[in-house]
Amino acid sequence: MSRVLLSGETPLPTSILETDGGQHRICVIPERGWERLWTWGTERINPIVVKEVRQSLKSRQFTISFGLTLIAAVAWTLIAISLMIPRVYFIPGGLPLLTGFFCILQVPLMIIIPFSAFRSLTTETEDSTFELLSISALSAWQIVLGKMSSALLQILLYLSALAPCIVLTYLLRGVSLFAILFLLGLTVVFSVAETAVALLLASVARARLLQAGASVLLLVGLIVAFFSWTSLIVSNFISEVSNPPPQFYMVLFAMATIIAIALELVLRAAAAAIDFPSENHSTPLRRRLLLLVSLILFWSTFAVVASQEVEIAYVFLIGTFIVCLFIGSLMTGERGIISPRACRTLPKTFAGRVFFTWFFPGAGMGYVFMVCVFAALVATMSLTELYYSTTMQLRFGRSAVAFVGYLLLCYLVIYLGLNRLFMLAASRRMPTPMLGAFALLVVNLVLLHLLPLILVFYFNDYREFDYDWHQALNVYWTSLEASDGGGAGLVLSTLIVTLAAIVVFGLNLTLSTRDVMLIRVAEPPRNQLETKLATTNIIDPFAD
Amino acid sequence: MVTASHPMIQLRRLHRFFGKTRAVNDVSFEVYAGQVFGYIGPNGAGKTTSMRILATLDLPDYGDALVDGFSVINDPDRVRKRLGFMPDHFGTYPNMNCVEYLDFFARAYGLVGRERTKALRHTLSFTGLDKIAEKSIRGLSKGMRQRLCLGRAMIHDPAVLILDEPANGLDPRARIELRHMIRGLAAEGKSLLISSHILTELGEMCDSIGIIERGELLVTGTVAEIKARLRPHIDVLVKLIGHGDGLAQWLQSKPNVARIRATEESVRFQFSAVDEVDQAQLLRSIIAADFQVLAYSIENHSLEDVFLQITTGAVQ
Repeated sequence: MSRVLLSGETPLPTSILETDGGQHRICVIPERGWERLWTWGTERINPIVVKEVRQSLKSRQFTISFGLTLIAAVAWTLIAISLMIPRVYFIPGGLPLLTGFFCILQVPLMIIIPFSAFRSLTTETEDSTFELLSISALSAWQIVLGKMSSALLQILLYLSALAPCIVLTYLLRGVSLFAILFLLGLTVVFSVAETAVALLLASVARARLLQAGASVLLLVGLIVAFFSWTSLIVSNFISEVSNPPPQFYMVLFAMATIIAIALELVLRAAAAAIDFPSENHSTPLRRRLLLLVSLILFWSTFAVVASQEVEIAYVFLIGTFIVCLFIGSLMTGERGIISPRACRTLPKTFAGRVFFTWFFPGAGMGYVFMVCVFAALVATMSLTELYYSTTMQLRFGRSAVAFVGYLLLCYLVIYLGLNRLFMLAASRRMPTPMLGAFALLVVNLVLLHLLPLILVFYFNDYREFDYDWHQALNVYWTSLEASDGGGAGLVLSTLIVTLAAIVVFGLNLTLSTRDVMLIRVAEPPRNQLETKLATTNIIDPFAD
Repeated sequence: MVTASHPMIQLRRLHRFFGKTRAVNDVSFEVYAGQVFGYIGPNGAGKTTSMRILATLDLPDYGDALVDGFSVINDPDRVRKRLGFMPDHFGTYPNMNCVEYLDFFARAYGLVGRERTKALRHTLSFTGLDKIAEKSIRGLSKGMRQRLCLGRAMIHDPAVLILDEPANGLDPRARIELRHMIRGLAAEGKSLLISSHILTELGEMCDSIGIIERGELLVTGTVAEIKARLRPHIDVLVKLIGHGDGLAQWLQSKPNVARIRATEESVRFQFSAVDEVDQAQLLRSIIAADFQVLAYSIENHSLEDVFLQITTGAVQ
């Protein structure tokens, strides 16, 4: 069919399917076998990656940054080797050269790529292309994953560009293969983690003002991370990791598993932020969070038993408390309405309702879920402590893991519970974004910690004072007292915290009953039929 | 997918509020397969908000919108498969050329293999972009960008197309071409919802229209129906040889005739019988009464007249 022309020139087409227009290479199925294979392969890749590659290859930013990295690497090779001549023929010279290459590689990997990923997503919003993407068949997860994959592709490109230089450092001796691979791996992990956080920030900050703030925040963070990592590499870190002890590999594996789950959680959260509001984002996020906490619990128990150092348990406990507090605050900002679409996936059986209802959307559900997860962690750690202290297998002595864990649990119940109650009250008068819940938590924490301190300071004529029950809501000071054994003030504080936790939890639980009473809604028969047809009628796209 | 038994687009008591502003307030209408529905209203009337809800870009506060029977709230994924949306802004990637842009969206809609290449060829050809397929989007004129956006919206051959101000900023030739494209798409059985400020164009290409103001749908129906509803009479102008006083006096005794105004050589009056047989009968009786008629014409009211009569121009 020819194109539509003015009335009177040629008749209108009866069907657009009769057209046979453009003969561009993209519009024809290639003849050669390898070209067909290539097309088949690219059609299975996330379309975002294909688009980003096409755009990147034409963009000035990529050309300049890639070119500059190559020039810097070649220049450093020439300068370093000319400075090391003639020593380089007799003594190992790989280490200083590798240090330089790593510093060069840090710039694109730790600053340019994560920031480009952030800009890539925010530009979609600015240029109004994000809406077009979101109404396509691509899911929010595919969009985020596509952005992440194109960042990974860029990382690979930069690595491959510097690979010959890095091989040269190995040939010059003075640095082990393990150290090179380990540092390269670590740099890539840092870059990927930064990119994931950048994507999360970009997806959360949708308004222009927020985007500007987030970009400044991200850039500062990236620069700080760049200098921290670069200074570590410059300070002889490479030679330190050249011959690691056997336990190092286990730590590496543990870290890898935790980082992998955490990264997926961050990316899922980014996808949830840009997804359609009626979608159930909570269940997948909570599943991964549970997995992450379980993993932390496993590795912390393993580390305590293996190292016989109880301090590790404290580190993991406090770390998990902070993570739960941060994520829990976002959960308390969830919308209180569960869409009929989300109701289609509610559990049907009694056992399902008992165990899985807390995985479903809603601030109340999220609050109870978070409290349950942390309570399970504290309980397991306390039982481990009890077992090992009674069997005298470890140097637990007068450790207070269970007590500190109990206090942290109470604080989590209070802080998140108060947050949820405030958000519930606010939601009746104004829109309550999830980030607002986080901001509210920060304000609450500052007030609960600073106000008692200021008051006690004032009544003590600004002199030094010891811990007492007035600081009951100060999690830092109370936990510190608890780990040191504490005194009379701690007993009273524990009582206050326990009572407050019971009241706050009871109130929240009562207010969550409406969400718990929701029942599963059946998937409409037409949807079921369409899904069945889509799964059974798989057509070979290359068939004639 | 396209069946005439149920409406392809259905708005059911749609409400959308932004604070105290009622952007869409209790709007309901239906569009069937093969129909072109014109959505008319002044700036800020709620057209774009309703269209964004239909395109699954926003959620209603109350009510629902259905596309081919699927709710935009509960089944946005199924709605998206059936719907092509062309917003009032371009949304293009400057570093791409036309064919790469369309190819990306073809892939994004899950088209692979021959299906994808066929869709690309057809879209390029239908929109007239095949000659400039490799031209960078940055260098395209506004009209060409509009074509590209229309191509993107129809790349996956959706049953429903929602076009927000598609003729905005186009030159007359491009407008005529766009009109032909829209009629061509409707002829294929697609349902189209179009908003535009150029009312004469809408009047020519739409099967039915809806006029919205301050979030409320004031009237829906075919252009003829709405005209008839608003003006249940026709304005008739009769040109004569001689003075019109005689005819004016004669007409006063006739039923369904009102507001008679005579001038030197003509008589203007309102005739309430819209039926064409009655009109012909009246003309015959005027001639039979020996009045020397030079011309007999019925004054048409444009969609613009209808729009001005219905809307108040108030903003919220």
